[in-house]
Amino acid sequence: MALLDIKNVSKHFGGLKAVDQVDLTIEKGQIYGLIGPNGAGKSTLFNCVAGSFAPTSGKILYNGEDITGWKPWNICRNKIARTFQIVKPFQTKTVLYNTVVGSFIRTSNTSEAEDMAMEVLKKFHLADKCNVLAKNLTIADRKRLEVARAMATDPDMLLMDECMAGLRHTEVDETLNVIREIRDRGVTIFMIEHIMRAIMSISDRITVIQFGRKIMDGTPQEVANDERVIKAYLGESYGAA
Amino acid sequence: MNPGSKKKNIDTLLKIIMAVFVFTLPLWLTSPAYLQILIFLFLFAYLTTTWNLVGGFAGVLPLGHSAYVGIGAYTSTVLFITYGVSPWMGMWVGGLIAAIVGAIIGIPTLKLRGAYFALSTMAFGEGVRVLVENTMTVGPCVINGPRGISIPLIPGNNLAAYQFVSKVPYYYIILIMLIIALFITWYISRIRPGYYLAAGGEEPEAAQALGVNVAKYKVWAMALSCFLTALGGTFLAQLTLYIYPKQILGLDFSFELAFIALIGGRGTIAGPVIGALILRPVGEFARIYLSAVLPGLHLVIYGLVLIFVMLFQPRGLVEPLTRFYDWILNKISGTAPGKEVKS
Repeated sequence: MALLDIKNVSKHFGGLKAVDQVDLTIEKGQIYGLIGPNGAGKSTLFNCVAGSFAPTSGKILYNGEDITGWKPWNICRNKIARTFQIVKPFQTKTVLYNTVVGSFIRTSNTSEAEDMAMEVLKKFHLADKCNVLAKNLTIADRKRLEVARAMATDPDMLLMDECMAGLRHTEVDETLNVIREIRDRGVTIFMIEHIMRAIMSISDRITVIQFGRKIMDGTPQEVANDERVIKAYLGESYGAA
Repeated sequence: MNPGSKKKNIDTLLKIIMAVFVFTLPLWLTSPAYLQILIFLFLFAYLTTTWNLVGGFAGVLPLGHSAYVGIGAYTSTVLFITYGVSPWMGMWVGGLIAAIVGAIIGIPTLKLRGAYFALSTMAFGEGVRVLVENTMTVGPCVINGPRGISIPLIPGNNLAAYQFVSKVPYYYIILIMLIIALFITWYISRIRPGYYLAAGGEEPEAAQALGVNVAKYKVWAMALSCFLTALGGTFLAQLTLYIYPKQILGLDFSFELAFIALIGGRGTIAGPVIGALILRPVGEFARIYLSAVLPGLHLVIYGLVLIFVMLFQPRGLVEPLTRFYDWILNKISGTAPGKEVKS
């Protein structure tokens, strides 16, 4: 059975069809990529799954359960965690504090939550920075904190919205390793990414959307060689060549 | 003994000295005028501490808390006059009403951000004042509109009636209320709801994505804050024994709470106390010595203090003062600075 099943989902903002009848199925244990040009509706689709927006129409099934229109906090309690494209750390709080907010979903005991948070921070190599204020972190560390915090909620599925944008070459490679580690721990990953090198090398399957509509899905190989995808990214004239 | 634990001992010792000082103050400070100033100082520290539950931790700026002071003061007073209910009982009723009203006001307004929340609470506070000023009776209860209510005097120091001739009992009551309020904020900041409140106040979307029903926690914080604020209202009524809308429902009352919190340090536990310690004496002396020059000058001075604090210490005076306190501890115990001791 599919872990996440997006069925015919649309999201309209007034007359704008940001997401238009998209179907998408993610199996357990996959790393699933979502790509498309700027403004294609990737983040909107993510926000529909994560509960930030209720879809205008269509259904979202998770583990066979209809989660369409659920509130974000209930989605999170249902073991789907997310990160934001523009990272949103609690700036005036420490790295540990940030992570504890996530791990509090598993326990109401503060010291237990702190232990769990430290455990997660160790895995993300942030343990030595646990008392640093989030606003004093580098961009790379902030992005790592964003993922660590989401992982502290102990999800079965992680939605990652452009977690590699703005990172240096070596940092992208590190992040790819982190993502593989997360997957190996049994977490299914659904990610938006603009860095083609990264998403092509890590994804099991990819869906391409443009103007809110799904163009195609397939393996990275199939996607890279598809004429429609090349047209979408590079324009009509390249497609003919 | 290593310097770290020595420092900790000195820290404990200093805190005990401060506590003993505060608790024995009325024994040698016998002037009722000075005691009155201190009582108001503690009252404002108390009210700002309860305000801070919403204004500090939940990250919004309520500017209508005078309404809840008023609800507390009027409820206990009216119950006492009409039904002979002791203010000690009436204050819980007032607190409960304030909590319910606070939650009802909070449910729609706490979804607003920044200035919009501040403006809507301000409008609510003013609305309550105008309402009370134009209401003479509520059912069997007389509230006398703008003229206010004076509480019938009971001779002598009467604990059951919450009335005292001496200032000393008032001093201890408000001191204990302040300590309880400080303990509540300290405790909340260390448990899950406190973390959730602070997270939701800072980045609501991120908090929601981490499983926090931000609105729910904010409404609970609002209800608790209003409940405690109303208890302070009853105290104020019993202290002055005469309440009228302009005194306890005025905008300047609400503003003063926000001023004290902003200057002391929003969202910190000690901030409201530090803010009150600095601002109240400044205000009192300005009122005593400068009101002949220009009435209302103390508010101008508040404004100036606020501007300077916001310019140089935007997170309140609690930060430099904590550093100063730490420096003193290091000096006394001989610890090298930088070696932080977790207390």
